[in-house]
Amino acid sequence: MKNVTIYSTPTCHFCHAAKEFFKKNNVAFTDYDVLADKAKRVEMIEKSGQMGVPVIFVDDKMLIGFDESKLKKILGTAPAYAA
Amino acid sequence: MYDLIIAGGGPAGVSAGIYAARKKLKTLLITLEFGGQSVVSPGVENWIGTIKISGSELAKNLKDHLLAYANESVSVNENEKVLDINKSKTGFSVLTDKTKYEAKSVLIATGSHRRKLEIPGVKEFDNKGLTYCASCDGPLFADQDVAVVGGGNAALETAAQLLAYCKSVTILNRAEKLRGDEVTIEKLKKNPKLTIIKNAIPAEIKGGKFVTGIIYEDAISKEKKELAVSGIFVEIGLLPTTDFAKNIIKLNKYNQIPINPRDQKTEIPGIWAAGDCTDALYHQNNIAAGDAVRALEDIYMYVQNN
Repeated sequence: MKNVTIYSTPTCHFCHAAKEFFKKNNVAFTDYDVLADKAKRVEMIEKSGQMGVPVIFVDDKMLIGFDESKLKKILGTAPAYAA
Repeated sequence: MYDLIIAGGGPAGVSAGIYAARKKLKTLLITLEFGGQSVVSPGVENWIGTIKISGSELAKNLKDHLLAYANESVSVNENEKVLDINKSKTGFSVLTDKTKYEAKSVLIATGSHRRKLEIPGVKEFDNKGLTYCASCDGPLFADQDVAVVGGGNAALETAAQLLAYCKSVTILNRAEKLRGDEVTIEKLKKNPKLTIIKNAIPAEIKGGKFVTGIIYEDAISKEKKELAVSGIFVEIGLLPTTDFAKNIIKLNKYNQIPINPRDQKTEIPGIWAAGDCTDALYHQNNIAAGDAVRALEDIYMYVQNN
């Protein structure tokens, strides 16, 4: 079972889309709101070397931004018939 | 083989899709995502019938409305991108990043995408202080000094959002007059954390690991000045998303699709266009929706007679 974490902001459309994607695919995840949580904000900037959200970690693998096909591959939720 | 293929899932594409469904036109709507450019707005206040709605929620409403009526008539393909359109024996061949489709008619409603800054430093500092999405990344700059490049409604909206948690917000407008709505400008000016610098043309982004400032040129004195900021938010306008259509339609000098405003027809029989991707004079969600409905009514007559 993969450990999934997302650093997000409340009004970020792509963060919202990523979380919807997790929910739709029954992927458990931890959400850090970097508007509310200053420590997590600093942590995100240090870990990713940049200031764009979302920053998603699947175990040790880091993805910046919401790329559905990349996420599907890493999580292993890609359909059996690859298009 | 479809009666109609709609390219785009913003207010234009969805409006046409809903009307197509209710008229039982065999339609395929192809879009990367729903909602259009307003999707990143924290609050849309001029979508008629709704006092205020977030761009995300507007996108969801548009999608839900379409899917509620889509039934067997309208197929909806999300996460798919149109790459090319060509004439075929029976109408048109639409090539996407997944496959190819055939249709009697096509409605292009692909809108616009944001214009990017093109000055030294934009590549190095992209996402390292330079950002194009305040509603996404704004909170990362809480308690800091930031700049907003632009003076239209998008720039004003961005400034308003940032004023809620930034230390200071400076708007850099390249002309004397800001293009945004007066109502919004007046409201913003009341906030002591806001400064508006006019006649400021961005020249260079400075920084180390992250942005530390922006150099701008005064359009009148030609003097170069530096503004110390850790965040730069860019809202400088739109470019039509029409590259995929250039093989079949002659785009104008702004890369917009020229249309007949009476019926939304393009120069190519069988192809219509609506919304920000066209040479319509004004760019608004409400206008895009109306124009797309007009197009669909015309498309319906065409399909009936062909």
